[in-house]
Amino acid sequence: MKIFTKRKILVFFLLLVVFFILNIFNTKELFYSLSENIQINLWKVNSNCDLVEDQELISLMAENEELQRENKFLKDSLGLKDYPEVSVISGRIISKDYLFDNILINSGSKDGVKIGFPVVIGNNILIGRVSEVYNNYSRVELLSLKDNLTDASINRVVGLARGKGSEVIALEMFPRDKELKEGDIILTSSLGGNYPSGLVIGKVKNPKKIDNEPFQISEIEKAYNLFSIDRVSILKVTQIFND
Amino acid sequence: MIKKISKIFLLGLLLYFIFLLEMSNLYTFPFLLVICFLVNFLEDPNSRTGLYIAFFIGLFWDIYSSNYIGLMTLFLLIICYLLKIILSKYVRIFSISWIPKI
Repeated sequence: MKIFTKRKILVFFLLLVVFFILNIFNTKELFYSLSENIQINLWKVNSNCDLVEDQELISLMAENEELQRENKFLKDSLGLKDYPEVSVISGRIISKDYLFDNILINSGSKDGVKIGFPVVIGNNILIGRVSEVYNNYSRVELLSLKDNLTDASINRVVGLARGKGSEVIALEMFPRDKELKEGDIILTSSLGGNYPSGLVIGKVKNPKKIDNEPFQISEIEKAYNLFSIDRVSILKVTQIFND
Repeated sequence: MIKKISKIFLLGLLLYFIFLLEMSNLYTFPFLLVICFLVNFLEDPNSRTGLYIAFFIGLFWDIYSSNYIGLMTLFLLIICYLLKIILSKYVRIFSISWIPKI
């Protein structure tokens, strides 16, 4: 068996040219539209799950907490702050990525989706944000994507939620002197400018203080199960959330 | 020649539907990748079936992920080709004769 023959080298370069052409034209979207119906039917099969009730409860608790905070703030400032206008685009999950924490949804630039828009389920449970946009489809990076960083806030103390891959998220950079309890709800913070504040990331699970570390760490119990949802909402945000 | 092309096409179609099944929420384990390496490992080193399987799986993987088209295709093809070279030149191992040759 010869390793390099003229024919093999020719096939290799031919493949390179074909792939280059396929990348220039929008071939991916053609495949997505071909398989959309089959994939939506396959995704529906497993869409009932026990976690849905839990999701609603967490969502309501977070909403309550955010409303209390908003109420206090408005009382204090008598309406001096303008909240960013947010409208919602709905979409359906078509598929997950093969190995990485991404999903494909059937709303795209024609529906007004842009890169960076937050994607939620229910009212306010954050699952990720849009990373790629096609005409009719978008790809969403989940919070659990490896090294994906999200600014988090627990009882008004800021930390960092880091994706670990394989649907695992961890809380990092949480000050050691602040209290961190099992079951505390983790919300987004508008500090990083990526997400509006008050979206649910998850709950604190197994908080740890390591002796020579200046920060506390913990696991995050996600408020969603990817296999229990089939519809998502994309928040069409109109301004950056640094405030 | 036409018979060979139609066999490759059928193999691609079959893998496409299995791939779609794997992209759904029914499975979380990437069993197609495992099958790809198993076929390349166990089949006759002179057969090309494993390389075609690697090509199609890589191609579908690229299309349905955020990769550039061709990245995983070429990566999987090269890995499987190297595996075949190592198996044919340096390792003597039984091969499964019922894996059809294309």
